[in-house]
Amino acid sequence: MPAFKLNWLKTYKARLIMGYMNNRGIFKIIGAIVFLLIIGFVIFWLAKSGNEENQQTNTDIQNESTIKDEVVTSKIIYATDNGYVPGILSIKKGESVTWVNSRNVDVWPASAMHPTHTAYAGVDYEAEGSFKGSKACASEGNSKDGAFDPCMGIKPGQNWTFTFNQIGTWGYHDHLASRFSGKVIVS
Amino acid sequence: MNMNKEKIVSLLLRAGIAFTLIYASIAGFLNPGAWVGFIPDFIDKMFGAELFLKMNGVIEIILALWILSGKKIFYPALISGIFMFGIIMLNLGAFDILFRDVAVLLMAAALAVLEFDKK
Repeated sequence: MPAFKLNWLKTYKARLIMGYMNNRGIFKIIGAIVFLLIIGFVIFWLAKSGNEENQQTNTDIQNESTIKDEVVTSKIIYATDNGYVPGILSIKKGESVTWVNSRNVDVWPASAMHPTHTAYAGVDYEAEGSFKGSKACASEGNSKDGAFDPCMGIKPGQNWTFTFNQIGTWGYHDHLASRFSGKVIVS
Repeated sequence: MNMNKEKIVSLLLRAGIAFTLIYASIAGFLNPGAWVGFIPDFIDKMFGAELFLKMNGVIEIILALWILSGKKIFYPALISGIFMFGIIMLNLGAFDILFRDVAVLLMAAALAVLEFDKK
């Protein structure tokens, strides 16, 4: 093979390899970032679910009060600066859950999804009215019949009680700080 | 990549990101009560959630128009990506809603990579 052709081939190959290396470098970086993001989210969710289950075991509290001969049981969820405690709560159909505001700002626990709050079943969300993006509200402080939504902020130290009459796993969040969320499992 | 294909890809990415930014901005102006929940406490204390939402809306519109203009779009693409990353990280508890933002974040990253040489 003539020398000039060999040199041309060498240069061509070198260019190809260099180009490939450069592209490969960019792809490696992008791939690594995407991979780390995915792994990060998976670890976060696994850790979060583990903590929530532990919290439920440790802090499952029952508030009992006697009305005539009947014992009314309301399970309590605390809204704290670190989220809802317990994060996951299991109850029976017809039981009540009381959210206690342990923060120094208003909290607004309401059904998923943010901001429409229409995940909880058995409610006519198309009925007239809405409030601050929530279709579960007829107006401020007035929820639609059976809706899982106080339709207002709960002041620090105050609480709000909701009775679950629908079986299922019901996600909720703080309408005023949607990073805080939890689940109530009704069986 | 074929130049025509590159242009189409860039246009689709730009349109997608700009649409998201404009929608979020207008929705935030029209119904702030539905959006203040995404504002972290420390920002609420510094600016007030509703004021910050308005400032954020103006920035989003500027970013969207810049991206649509097609001029030096590496920078707004990068800023949009950082913006999305911030929103996701500050609201991880609402990931059931924000998982879609991961797609927008990666679209912005793709646009930034695509436009890197043209900056």
